Amino acid sequence: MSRNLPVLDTGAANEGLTAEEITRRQFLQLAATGLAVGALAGCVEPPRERILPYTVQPIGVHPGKPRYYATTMPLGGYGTGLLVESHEGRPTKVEGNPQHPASLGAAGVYEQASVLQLYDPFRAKSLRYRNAPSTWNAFVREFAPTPQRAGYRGAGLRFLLQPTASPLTSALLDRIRDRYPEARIHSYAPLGSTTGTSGLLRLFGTRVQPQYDLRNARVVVTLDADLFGAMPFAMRYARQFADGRRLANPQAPMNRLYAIESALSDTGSIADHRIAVRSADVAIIAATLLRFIAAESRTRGITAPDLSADQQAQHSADERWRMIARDLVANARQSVVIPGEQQPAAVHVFAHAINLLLGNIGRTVWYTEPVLYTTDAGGIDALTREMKAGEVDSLIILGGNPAYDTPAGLNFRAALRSVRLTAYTGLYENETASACHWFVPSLHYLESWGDARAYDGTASLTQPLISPLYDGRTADQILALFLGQTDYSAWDLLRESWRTRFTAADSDLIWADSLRRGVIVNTAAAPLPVTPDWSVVTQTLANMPQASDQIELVFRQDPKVYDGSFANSPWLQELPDPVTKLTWDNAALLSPRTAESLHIESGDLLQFRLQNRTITIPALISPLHADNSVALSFGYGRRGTEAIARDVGVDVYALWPGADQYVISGADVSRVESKNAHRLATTQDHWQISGRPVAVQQTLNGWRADPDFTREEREHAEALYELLPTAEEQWAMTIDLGICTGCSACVVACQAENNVPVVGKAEVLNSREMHWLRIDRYYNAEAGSGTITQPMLCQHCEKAPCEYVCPVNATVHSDDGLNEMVYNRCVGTRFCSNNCPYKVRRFNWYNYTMGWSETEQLQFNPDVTVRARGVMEKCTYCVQRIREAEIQARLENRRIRDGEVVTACQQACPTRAIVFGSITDPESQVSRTREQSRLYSVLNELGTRPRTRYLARISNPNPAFESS
Amino acid sequence: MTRLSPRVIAAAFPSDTTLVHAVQWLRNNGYDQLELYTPYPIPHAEELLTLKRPRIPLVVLVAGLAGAATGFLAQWYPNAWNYPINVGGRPLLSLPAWVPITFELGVLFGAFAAVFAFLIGSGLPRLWHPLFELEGFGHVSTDEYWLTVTTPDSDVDSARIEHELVALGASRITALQESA
Amino acid sequence: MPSPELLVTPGDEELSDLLLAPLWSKSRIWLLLFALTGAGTLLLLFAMTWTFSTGIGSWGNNIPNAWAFGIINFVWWIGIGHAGTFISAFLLLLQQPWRASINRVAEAMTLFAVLNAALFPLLHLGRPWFAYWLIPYPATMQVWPQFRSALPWDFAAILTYGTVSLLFWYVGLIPDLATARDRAPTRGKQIVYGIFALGWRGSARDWQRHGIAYGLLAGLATPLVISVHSIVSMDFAITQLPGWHSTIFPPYFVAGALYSGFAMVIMLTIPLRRVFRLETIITERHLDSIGKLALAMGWAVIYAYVIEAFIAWYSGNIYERYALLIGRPLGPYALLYWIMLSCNCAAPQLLWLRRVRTSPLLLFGVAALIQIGMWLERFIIIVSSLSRDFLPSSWHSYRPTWVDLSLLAGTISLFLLLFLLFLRFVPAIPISEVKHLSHETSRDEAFA
Repeated sequence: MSRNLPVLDTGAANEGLTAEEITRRQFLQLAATGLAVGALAGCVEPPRERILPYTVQPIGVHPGKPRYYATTMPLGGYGTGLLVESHEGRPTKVEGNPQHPASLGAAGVYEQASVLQLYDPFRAKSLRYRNAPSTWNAFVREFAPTPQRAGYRGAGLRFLLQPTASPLTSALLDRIRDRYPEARIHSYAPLGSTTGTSGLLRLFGTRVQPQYDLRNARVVVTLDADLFGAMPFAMRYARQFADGRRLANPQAPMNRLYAIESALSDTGSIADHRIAVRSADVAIIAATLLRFIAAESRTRGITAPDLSADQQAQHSADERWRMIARDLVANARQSVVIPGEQQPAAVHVFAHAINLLLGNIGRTVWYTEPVLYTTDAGGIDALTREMKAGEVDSLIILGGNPAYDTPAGLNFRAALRSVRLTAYTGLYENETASACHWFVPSLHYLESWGDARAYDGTASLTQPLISPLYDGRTADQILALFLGQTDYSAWDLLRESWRTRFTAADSDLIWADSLRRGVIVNTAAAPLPVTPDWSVVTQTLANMPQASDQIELVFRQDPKVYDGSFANSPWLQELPDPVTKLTWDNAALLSPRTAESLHIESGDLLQFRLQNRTITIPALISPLHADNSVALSFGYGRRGTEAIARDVGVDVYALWPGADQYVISGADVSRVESKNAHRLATTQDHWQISGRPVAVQQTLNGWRADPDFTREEREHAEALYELLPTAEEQWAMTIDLGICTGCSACVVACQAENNVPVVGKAEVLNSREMHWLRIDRYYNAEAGSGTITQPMLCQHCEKAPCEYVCPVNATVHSDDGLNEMVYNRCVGTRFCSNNCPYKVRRFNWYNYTMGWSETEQLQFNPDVTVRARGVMEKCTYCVQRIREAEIQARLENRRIRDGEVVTACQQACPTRAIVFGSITDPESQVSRTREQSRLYSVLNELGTRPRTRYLARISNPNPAFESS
Repeated sequence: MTRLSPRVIAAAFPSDTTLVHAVQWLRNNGYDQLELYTPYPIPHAEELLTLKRPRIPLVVLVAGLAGAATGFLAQWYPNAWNYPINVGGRPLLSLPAWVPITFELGVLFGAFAAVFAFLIGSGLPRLWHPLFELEGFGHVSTDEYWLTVTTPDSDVDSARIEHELVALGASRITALQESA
Repeated sequence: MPSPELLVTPGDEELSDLLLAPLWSKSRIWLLLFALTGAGTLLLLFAMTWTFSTGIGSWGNNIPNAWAFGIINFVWWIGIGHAGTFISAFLLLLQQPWRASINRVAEAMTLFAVLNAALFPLLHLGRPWFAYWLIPYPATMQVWPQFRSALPWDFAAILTYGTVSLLFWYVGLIPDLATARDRAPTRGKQIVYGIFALGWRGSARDWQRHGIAYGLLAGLATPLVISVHSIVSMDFAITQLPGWHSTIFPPYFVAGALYSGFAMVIMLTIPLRRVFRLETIITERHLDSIGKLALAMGWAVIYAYVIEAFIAWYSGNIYERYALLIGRPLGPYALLYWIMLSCNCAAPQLLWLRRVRTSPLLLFGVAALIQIGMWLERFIIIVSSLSRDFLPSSWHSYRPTWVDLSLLAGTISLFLLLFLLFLRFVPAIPISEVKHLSHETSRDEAFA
């Protein structure tokens, strides 16, 4: 990715800050007012600073030429470094920042979708006091006096934040605690599990946070951990894991992954052994593994405590645990066992005990101090108790949505009423906003100054790409109020806090450099030495719960709407769930056998009762799901003012017993009789590949036995007519099924890049979704995890069946091997779709793009036509990017470099499973992938000669498993 | 087509058989300028009047070939010559694909040719014709069988013919003078 | 011995009056039917307007079922059209005298069926207002149609077929229009029919040219009939979709077309001869003969079904095998498939019995079943093949909307409406030909 990451104030640095700062501001205001006036028609208060007419072009802005800026998106408290594409001052596309440890160049589903959230027409636009619109000045008048109140030590003053690792916020919070000793700062997020840290606190006696490195892990075992889907560093882990299995030849070394989990996850999908167990049983399994490993290591003369107490009959009887243990021990010092964040403390204790025994510490695992800002104020339940007790005078809620996403048992919303003064800042007028006195719209990260730390502690800055669309403030600005810094802009606060951090001399240079790179170098947290207390391990082993097989409920992060904070994103609502392909809904996932025992089918309504709380939610049968386990995902059944999220799916917080309790047994389940079953809009209805050579896979040994096992699906049949390609470049794509986790980042990336419309639930039900790139999932008993995912997009066939049936030449072939779709020539006969064996063509049955609001239209990529009603569309290999590179190359009178053209899907892919380039250059990455012996074309026998080809998935099962 | 000159006798017969006999008598007596009007094509009319077959088939053949040529060129020029482009990796000269339209246009042109040849040959459309003025001629399309015979301008002949036609069963006889 | 083509040989005048009667007389039934079919046609107009204004999304189509009702109806109507030209042209060449009394009804049926058929390719376009892009015309951007696609072939075929059928029908009609002109009770009618009669006088020379031209048209129309449905079948055969990708399609489709066509002729003539008391003109002999033809075509279709399935199995191709041997008999549309088989293969076997062929009621029943069966056949070919093709991931079934159903019902109404108008204002039985025939038969009897 050879992209210039400009900071507009470069050079201005040594002239001192103000000048630099104004230049930058001006540009942003110009850009913003341009679109604000144009699109928002006065939704925006005029910027305070002086505006210049566009007669003089702002520095660095070339109309029609996109610019990329580095910034940081905070999620779940941790930052992910991004490069954001900006067209004439409006951010249009989010991409990964290769220099940032959490991204490594990739950008996940949430990051990709965040740009649309910026333009969400349902965002809160102005301040509110009780039911009347208000102003920032009024808000300041309300709270600015607080610091002046003599002798006021913050009694009854409470702050509730989302978990954060922002150095700026942390600094402000520290100062607040100094100024108001009696004030308390609570942090809460439904997914912010604290079991991990408390487990490690018990084991090591200090607050630490585990860090993992899969690069030199030969064997990876996950204990109900969605390593590649739902963990803070997921994209980094996925990349590291994938690097361990980019097999050029059968002899290449390959890592092995055991995924022990209840609901099928991205991690489970790609595992070599996926073992479905109730989440509640994971603890027992961890214990079993620990015992075996202890025993194993001692037999191998490795010093390990004797843990061979009475073992849980049920699970130790299962030979698989013994085999996994052996495999781990055999790969001691180059293996890792990773517990799921939502698992109870015990599992973390066991997992890390295992890592200790295996000598993995310092190699694949190490520990740092917790990156998140922590206080001893206690969790959300402590706060709620105080509120109910009337001990809270004023409560400042910074972000989150506690009135919605707190455990129903707490009844936080009611508790809010017993607080004298409540203020809330958030993007939307959501459930919490309506329950608070004050509401201040907060700024989207793409319009605010700030900073964040990645999971490993690396700090990075958040710089805005656009000045605020609405009258919003950052949380930091509100905190600053309580420190008497009333007229500070977010920039002032940030710059000030970093000026102190950087060594004064080259402060400005570092600042500029950090902005440009999107990372502040050498800020990762240092490893801490730890000493385990084995007695803790034995104690924990001693009082283990009994295994049971009653139905458990697993509360989990939603792969699409996170904890509900993304629920208003049409992209994410329509994004097929990576596993179930479900859109516009959440459902109770359960295994076929469990469904059978409950006498239900997908779509039937289930009622769950826990204590006195009940929810009714449609069931969805998911193959490979653990028996007697039901997965419920957060984030649906919203009741705020966000019209898209409203009433989509079912709110499972209403059943959730309490923070940190993600796995619950003993809920009673009953089928709700209703005449018509709930219609779940899934984008895939058939899951059996039924022997068709579509998604090909093989075991490592199988591959070694027959290195050329895909020949049938690779070699071309003779063609009667060879049309020789004429252009210098011939574009092609290779997708490595071996490392595709099905995470779906590419799907959203494609949607963002290519202005792909959203069609809504009704249309999805009629199989009219418009995604140019879909991810097919097949379940097959054979090798590996028992499931395989396959990104399916236009294959750009050299002998394209779609082309010769078009009566009007609306789809033809370009000289550089693209299957082109000429929208304005298309009359919509749909003959091409009928003749496309891959069914990757999408048709505008209605005028779908008509639905976009004025603000959302600002996200449109100006380089891509917006399609109208009645025309066919499909993947173009991001032709706009190809042509851009072509023009550049022609200007510089050279060939296009390999890797210069990066398609949106390729860019987003965390594992780099997608490779794109020209096959006329034998040295290009894509050419080299096409030499591999596991290369094949889907439906090769049809002789369509696809340019998009696949590398068969190779799985690396433990030979011991096969033998037994 | 029939011009009424210099003198025409029109006779109506009740049946095709009587008409045929009258025609035979007239031919035998050297009156060859005959025309028959019947509700349906009576058999052997060609032999009776020794009509030669018109060359409509030839016209149709030529037109048909012209149509086929048009059809072929209309496909070859756009797809192979004027705007050659790679479509599905297929040859520019996709002859088999052009057969259907070539054939269809041949048929289309041929059909039009047949119809026009017939209409022009019979001088149709011609909505008015002197014969329509004759009393009872309307029955030709229903149940009467007419003939017109043109005679040299001599009362003798015409009297003889009229007399004979009556004898042959003509139900109605009209003699027409040259309409000035 | 077969029953004669005419039971009586009435005088020319009675005959003319009998056959012209519908033109001069008003009938209450006719008005009633006219009102009914008129209402149905309004429904069609509404559904069309709806489609044009809201978009093709108002149909049930989706991906993978990008084609469904629209194309099913198109193929069905085109097929029905075929019998008309076949009867009048092909049987003319074979000099089958019995065709005389029914050929005009059959031709009219053809015209109206083709008209209906031609609606659908237009309706089903995503952007119908650009339909003319299928015609080659010198555009500044040099954008031309793409003639490797079967759709321009379709366009040419339907255009030609419609035109030639119209010419053929009209040429045959001229003498009878003249009769109507000469028998017209009022001056007004006389003028109107006079204009359409083009001044026909029925001279021997005119009859001669008329005969030659008519024969040539018949000669041209006969291969045309074969070609049109062959081309329509290529809309499917040129693809590589299992269930479409088959070389047997052209003959198979032609047979199917004639099959449904004959069924439609039966369904039209039986009520016709009843209402207008034409039992003496359209005799049992006619019913009998069409019945036989239907039976023959039935077997042709059965043969096609068998071969299709056999080749699917014999090819060893898993996709073909799935589509024809599993998808159809056991898939989501299995019920329709089996109904289709019983309508198209079982029902017509009754036609072996002369009693069935000559009993109007039974014959009508069988014909109705065939008609339904043939519609279902097209449904099965199109939808069951599309809904389950190569990648199981994209399999999805199809369900029509009210618009789809309205369009089908609407075109049926329009068809009947046009047919009613035809009966009311055009001599439905070719008078001159019948006269010709009656005189021949009487002559034969005389010489016998």
